[in-house]
Formats: sequence, structure tokens, C-alpha cells
Amino acid sequence: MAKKKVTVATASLQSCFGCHISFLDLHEEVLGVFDLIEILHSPIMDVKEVPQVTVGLIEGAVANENNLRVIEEFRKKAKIILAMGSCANLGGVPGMRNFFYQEDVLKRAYVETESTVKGKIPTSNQIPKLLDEVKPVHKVIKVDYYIPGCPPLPEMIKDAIIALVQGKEPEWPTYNLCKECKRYHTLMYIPQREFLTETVFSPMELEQIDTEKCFLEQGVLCMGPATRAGCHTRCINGNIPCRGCFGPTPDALEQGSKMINALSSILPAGTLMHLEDVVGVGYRYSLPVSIYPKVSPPKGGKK
Amino acid sequence: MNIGLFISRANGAISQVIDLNDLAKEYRNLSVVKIYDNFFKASRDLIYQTRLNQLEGVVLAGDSKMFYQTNRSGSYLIRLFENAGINLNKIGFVNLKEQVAFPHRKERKSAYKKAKALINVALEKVKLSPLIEVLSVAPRRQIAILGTTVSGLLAAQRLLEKGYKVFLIDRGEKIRDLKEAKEKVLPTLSYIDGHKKVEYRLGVKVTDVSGYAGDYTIVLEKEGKQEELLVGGIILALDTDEDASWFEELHQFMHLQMSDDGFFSPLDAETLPVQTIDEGICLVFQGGSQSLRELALRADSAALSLGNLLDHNEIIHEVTISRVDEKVCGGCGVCVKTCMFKASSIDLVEKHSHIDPRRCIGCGNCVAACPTGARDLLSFPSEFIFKAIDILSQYESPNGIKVLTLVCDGCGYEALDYAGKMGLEYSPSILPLEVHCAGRIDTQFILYAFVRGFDGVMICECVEGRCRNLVGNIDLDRRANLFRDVLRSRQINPERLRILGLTPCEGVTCVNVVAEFINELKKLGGESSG
Repeated sequence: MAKKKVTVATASLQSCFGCHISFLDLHEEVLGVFDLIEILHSPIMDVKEVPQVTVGLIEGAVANENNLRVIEEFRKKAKIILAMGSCANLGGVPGMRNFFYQEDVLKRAYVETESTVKGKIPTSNQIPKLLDEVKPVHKVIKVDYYIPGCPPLPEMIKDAIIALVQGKEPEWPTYNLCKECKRYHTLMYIPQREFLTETVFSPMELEQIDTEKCFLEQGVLCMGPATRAGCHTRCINGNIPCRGCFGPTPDALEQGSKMINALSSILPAGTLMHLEDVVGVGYRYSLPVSIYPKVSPPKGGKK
Repeated sequence: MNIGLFISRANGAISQVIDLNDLAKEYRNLSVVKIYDNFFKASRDLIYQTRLNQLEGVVLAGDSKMFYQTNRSGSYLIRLFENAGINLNKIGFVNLKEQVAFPHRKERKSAYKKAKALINVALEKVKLSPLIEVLSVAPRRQIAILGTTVSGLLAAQRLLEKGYKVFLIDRGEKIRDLKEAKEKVLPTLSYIDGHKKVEYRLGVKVTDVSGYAGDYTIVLEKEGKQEELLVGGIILALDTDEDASWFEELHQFMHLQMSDDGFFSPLDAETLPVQTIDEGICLVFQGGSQSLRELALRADSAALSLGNLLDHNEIIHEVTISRVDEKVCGGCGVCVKTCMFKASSIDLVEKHSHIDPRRCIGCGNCVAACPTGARDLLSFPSEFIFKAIDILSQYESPNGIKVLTLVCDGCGYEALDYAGKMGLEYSPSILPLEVHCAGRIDTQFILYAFVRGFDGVMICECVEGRCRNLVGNIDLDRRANLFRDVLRSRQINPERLRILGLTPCEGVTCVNVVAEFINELKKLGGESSG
């Protein structure tokens, strides 16, 4: 008789479905996983009610009232909540909405977009209301385990599920990405108080980027130092600098200010000042878990 | 943890303003709380209480922290506590006199609340600081004297008489011209010349100094050849008229407090004129209108001071340096680039960073720079600073405005002390938090202060070229300038972050800027409230 399978429900909140796709990117290996688990509820299945399950796998950030309803129900129905991907853990890309007041966000989306003629902000109560602040799942309900990454590597999702099935805790590296990175250094390890380069480049400004040399030493901003490891430098292997999707290491409270502290002593500070979006570099994935996770309340309390 | 709180009336200076009996009652849950007229007369009872209550930490609320560093009776008291088994990192200081009672004489209520907040911070520091390790060094009985000036030669003679080996080092190829002192100093010179235990190193360039009292390494360079001298103590016998450029060179690797005129400054110009914050380095400068007698007295003082130190069989050295969490460090190398003292390196096999305790002076710049948070400073751990910001944010300010003032203890802290001593009053909205050096200020602290509801953050850093950690102020400026964008992104007016360059005696400037800043914050209103 086949062993009883572990029951799983999945949900996608404010996100791009990338984590679910990454899970399917296990290709034929996914069959092995399905020998262990049975998915009873998922956005790609037509099941209205969330049944009682052992594992609730949540992708996406909490951004509207419907998301709130879903995760509260998941918390009630699932024994273990596994938050999957950067949106669920850090707020992710949707979290960048926290840089703006909600009123401005709606106006931009429904009225001011270049292709919109006579737009208006929808008021129907059929549409879930946006929350003032995008939050990671753990700021709303208790999360038992998490998988970092945008998206997590397919194997990481597999490993986490297998670990839970075997009664173990999924474990991820705590050090930063530089430890996994194979690129070589010439200046970074030399104790000299000089900037690595004379100027700072955006990757498209360079005709060629050395595929073996540290990005920072080529004057290209790489979030590797302020980002926890675990992705096996997949972007860096593709000659694209790290953008920080795995979030801060456990000892740092946040990525943005830590990266600014570090950059100030290694790259020319004057040039950094003229960067288009140094804030976006640091907080692309992790604004909602920052020390200061959203815009400050406006003067007089309006907006 | 058994913590004792000792409060000093400072002979009435504090108790006139703050009701210390009421204050003491708020800390009844501690192992012992006692009020004294003056700590220095009560040292016996302090130690008795420490032993009796088996204290593991003490908080001394009274005089400025500086008093315990620059005054012998202050440092003696600390030594007594250490002998009674208290780790240096478990002694907390609350500056009730210069930074609360003096400047807030007329605002007794606020002074009381501020005193309470500052005591809470110090208690937290004692709780959260790790124990500092101690290293025992067998001191070398060799002394290097930089500068063959009159004062240098006089000091050399005294040390040779005491049985020390002396290296006389100078940039020039010859012993300096002794000018009008020549006739009188000639016998000294011939004594030195004929002595077996003297060696000359002339026409050399000093390229590095590392180590600590009892065990320094000085690297000399001559015609491309390098030589390492191992000595126990160093005497700087420079001429303030001739050696301005040499001072600048030496400042690159001798990290002493600088005075306003660009020379190293002694602990106390009147009572400790040759001693510096580094026990093993003495100053016997000449220049200006000093008489030969004054130079001789300085030479005596330096020889006595170093002689006493190096006569010990062992010198205890406290390692206040930064540490690395190897589980989190991934060896990115940012600390290597940040450190001015070449104390950081990367272990290429394990790929994590390593700290050389002989070079690390515990400035904390790498701790701020570390993008992973793997580094921490033993004397000012990050956890403590966040907690302190938390505590200070709970203070109720009389005018509704609260300013977190992060002060470098080489300038801002002293400037605030100075303002207090001068009788200047300023708003009790200012909540000082000592952070050792501006370079230790992680921009995370600033963000945290705003989220905790501070209306403004003021940072007091040393003026250009005066940072004893050389680049702490420069690095802070760079970080803060970039960081203003982060504040803007949260709709916090970057004007709410004020950085002020100070020298220790600029109490007036400090107070004026504080007043101006608070006015500006009032105008900005409550637009940022976390």
C-alpha cells in the first residue's frame, strides 16, 4: 500500500506566479515530488474552499484585502505555513509601492498612464481594496518556514518540501553571496584606502563586462555583498550583477542602508551621488522588511 | 545579572538640579543603588559594595566619561573596579553633571527625565556588551625616541640611566643642531654617545607603527631597505616649529588625539602634559618659547611615565576591537578596503574576514561598512545602539521635539561637556548617545531613529583632518550624503539629518547649532513621525 501523501495547498497573493513556475521548472523531477505530496488546493485548480492540509505554500506579498483573507484562511487550515519567494518573505517587487502614497499609486495606474484617456479610479466594492502598506506574509500571520529567492531555484523548493516531509527544517546559507561567487579580485583584498574604480557604470553603458572579474571592481553595482547566498550566483554566471533578491543576511536588519554604507568606502562617492536610483538598487526586493518600510505619514494626516 | 547603580551628587552640582533620592528609588530592582557625594572619596565603599553584592556590572552616574579617561583619580577608580572583578565593558557611565545638570539647570523636570533615560541606556550597555578579552604582554625594555631634539636627548639620557635600551630616530642624517642649548646639553650628548645601550637610526623614514603599550613594531625605511624595530614604548620628541610635515606623516599610523593646532595632544595639558591616550606613547615636544628647564622637566616626566609602565612584568591590554561572525561573513572584502589601519584581511581558503588585533584600534568603521552585519564592535555593539535609540525615543520632551544626537567621543562628547562647564544652557530635546567615532555610525541607526519617532538626528563628528581614526568623519560624510536619498524616498526631509563638524572646545558652536536645528525642526513640523 502506498504511503499516505502529505497534503499541500498553494496560494498566490500579489506576485507574478514565478514561484509556481519555478516549482514546475523541476521538469520530470516534479513527479518525484508528487510521489510525496498531494496538492489539494492551488490557483491553477478549480477548488473554491481551502481544505485542511499539512503544508500551506504561499507565494506573493500581502497587498490587498483579498490577500489578507486568503492568508488568514491558510493559517487556519494549514499546519505549516511555508512562505515561498521574495514577495512572501521580503515584500519583493510589489513592495516598492511603499515608496508612494496609495492615492498617488491609484492615480498613476488608472488616470495618468500615457495610454489612458479619461481614466478614473474604480470604486466598485467587487474589487479588493489596496492596503496602505505592502507587507511580507510574516508581518501578518505566523510563518513557520521560508524559501528565499525571486524566484527560488526549483531545487530549493524541492529541498524544502522534502525536508518538511522528512520532518526536518529547511536550512539556507547565512553568509553573503560573495562566498559563492567565483569571480576573481585584484583590488578588493588589498588593504589600501582607494576606490576600486574612477567611476560607476550601469551594465548597459559598458561594451564589455569581464565575465571572470568581480563586478564591483569593474565599477558595476552588484548587490552580492549585501545579499545572502543560496542562488549559486545564477545572475552573475549570466554576466548580470546581483540585484539582491535573496534579501539581507540574518545579521543585517536591511539591505538598502547596509549597501550604502559599504559602497561609500569602495566606489567613488561623488559618482554614486549622481546615480539615477541608488535607493532602488538597495531596496528593489526588500523595502517592506526595511527598518523604515514605507513612506512617512504625510503632514496633517491626509493623502 | 547583578548590576549596581552608583550615583554621584558631584558635591552638589547634580543634586541641586535632579532629585537623586527619587531617581534612585526607580532602580530598586537592581542589586544595589547608592548615592555618594563624590565617587573619588568613596572608592573604598564602592569596591566594598561591588564585592558584597557580587556585582558583574556597574553604572557610574555622575561625572563625564572623559573624567575617567583623562584624570588619574578617575582611571584609578576604574582600575579598582577591574581588580574587583568587573570587566571594562561592564562599566557604564552616565554623564549627569556636564550633560544634564549643568545645561538644564532651569528645567528640573526634563533634567530628571533625561537623567533617567540616560541611566537606562547605560544599564542596557552593561547588559548587552560582551566581555572584553585581556591580553598579557611582557613589555620590551626598549624605547624609541623620534626626534633628536634637545628634549629627545634629555629623555634618552634619563632612560639610559634607568637601564633601558634607546633607539634615537630622526629624519635628518645628523643629530639636530642644538642651537642655544648646545653648551648645556653637550654633556648629555656625550653621555648618550658613550653609552652601550643606545643605537642611532638617522636619515630614515618611519613607514609604519603597530602594536600596543609594551609591544610596538616600528618600520623604518632607508634607501629602499626596511628595518623593523621592536620596542616597548615610544617618545615623540618632535619640534613643533620644524616638524609639521612629520606630524602629518606620523598621524597616518599613530592614532592619537589631535589638538587644534595640528599636533598630537596630551591627556591633560596641565596635569598630564606628556601622557597620551596610548599608555606607551609619550610626548615631549619642543618649540615656541619653552625654556630648557621646562624641556628637562618634560623629559623627566616621560622617562618616569614609560619607566613605570615598562618596569612591570606584564602589561594587561584590553582588546576592544571588532569581531566577525564567521557564519555570516562571506569574504566580500569591503572591510579590507574600509580599514585605514590594515587590520582586516580575507582568509582566502575559508573566505571570511580576519582581524589583526595588533592593528585594530576598534574604531568601528568596518562594522558600519560591513554589508552583511557580520562585524560588530565589542565596546559599542550594534544591538546596544538600537536598544539605546529605543530607550531614548521613549523620553518625553517638554517641547514635543526629540533630537537624537550621536556624538563621537573625540569631539562631540567633549564639546557638550565643555558647553556644560561653560554654563551654557540648551534644550533638553537633545538626547546624546555616544558612538565612539563617526565612522562607526551605520546609516541603519539613522533610519531606526526616524522610525522610532525622533524628529531629527544630529551627528557630531570631528572636523576635517582631526579624526583620530583618520577617516571616520570622511566615511560618515560619504554615507550620509548618499543616505539622504533614502530619507527622501520615505518622504522624510533630509534636513532632519544634521551633521556637525566640531573640535572638542567648540561648545558654543555646538549649542548654537542645536538651537538653530531645533527651530528648524519646529518649522518642519510633524511631517515625519514614523
